[in-house]
Amino acid sequence: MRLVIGGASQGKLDYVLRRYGLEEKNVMDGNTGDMVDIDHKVFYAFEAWFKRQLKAGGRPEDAADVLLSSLPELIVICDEVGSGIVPVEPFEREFRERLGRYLIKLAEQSQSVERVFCGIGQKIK
Amino acid sequence: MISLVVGGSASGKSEFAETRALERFEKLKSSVSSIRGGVRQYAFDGELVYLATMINTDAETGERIDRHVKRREGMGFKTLEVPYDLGKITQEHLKSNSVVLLECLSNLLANEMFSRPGEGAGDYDTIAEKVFADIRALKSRCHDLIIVTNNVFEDGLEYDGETALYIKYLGELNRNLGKLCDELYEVVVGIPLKIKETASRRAETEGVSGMGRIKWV
Repeated sequence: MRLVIGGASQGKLDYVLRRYGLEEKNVMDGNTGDMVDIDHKVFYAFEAWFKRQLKAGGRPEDAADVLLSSLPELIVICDEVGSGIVPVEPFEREFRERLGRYLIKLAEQSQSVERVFCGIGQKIK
Repeated sequence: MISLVVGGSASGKSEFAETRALERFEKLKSSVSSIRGGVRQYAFDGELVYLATMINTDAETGERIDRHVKRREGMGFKTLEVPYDLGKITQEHLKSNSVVLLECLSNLLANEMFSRPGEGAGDYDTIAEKVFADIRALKSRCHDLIIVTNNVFEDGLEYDGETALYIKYLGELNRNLGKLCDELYEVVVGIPLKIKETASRRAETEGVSGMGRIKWV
């Protein structure tokens, strides 16, 4: 597995498609999608998927463990969500905390971690 | 030596800073005993000190504190709870051979601005300077200082009033400490990224034999 992180609108998806020579059809969009099929090489907007799971009352960590363990070659793209003022809304606080903790674990398990800033990727692991 | 550790929430910055503090403490301990020719008779009186700034106000904060306390258990930290006025820490509380971990600057500033008893919202103009002076006073009373601070600057949201001021002053403190520190790390998804390291710090990392290679020393 590979992890690509960075702030919103930093060009993470473009970077991944370019760097790994992939196309739109290889992308599972976490904003709307839940199912990963055979063409999918990229799990985009992992943060949005994680938030939907959490909102529905599930345990996104467990669901993600199952999903990701079956796809060892997957590239996970996720927004950095922790670098702001502590949100007033308790759900938003929990989301930040749970996603942050899960990303640390994901980074540990990933063969590479890249951070995209202003469209430029930096390999940090 | 001053180390600055920056990260977002749940980035793993605390874990990294704790490891750093332990490393510094071991190094200090062994350097003190090597001065004495490695003879262990010399009693090293330094301490590994954790400056906790969080004020326990509700269940969520309580849980957070518990998690941090649990992680420090058995690591050898002595905890001092200092929610504000770091400058008032004296020799009675702190031995000069101590390694101090300040966790964290973002809480400390919030306490200084919003949680001091008997003082309402007021004039914050000098608050960043006051906290910076407190930190320098603290550094003069210990051997190594590791400061954890927060990245609260990148959520793309606009804030009004006191929150905007808080962001402004935390930014000012982070910048001033960025200048003052010997090393600066940003922790991202648990991975420490080195942003700054002074020549003297680098020489120390490389050991005495490495010093000759650094031309600008």
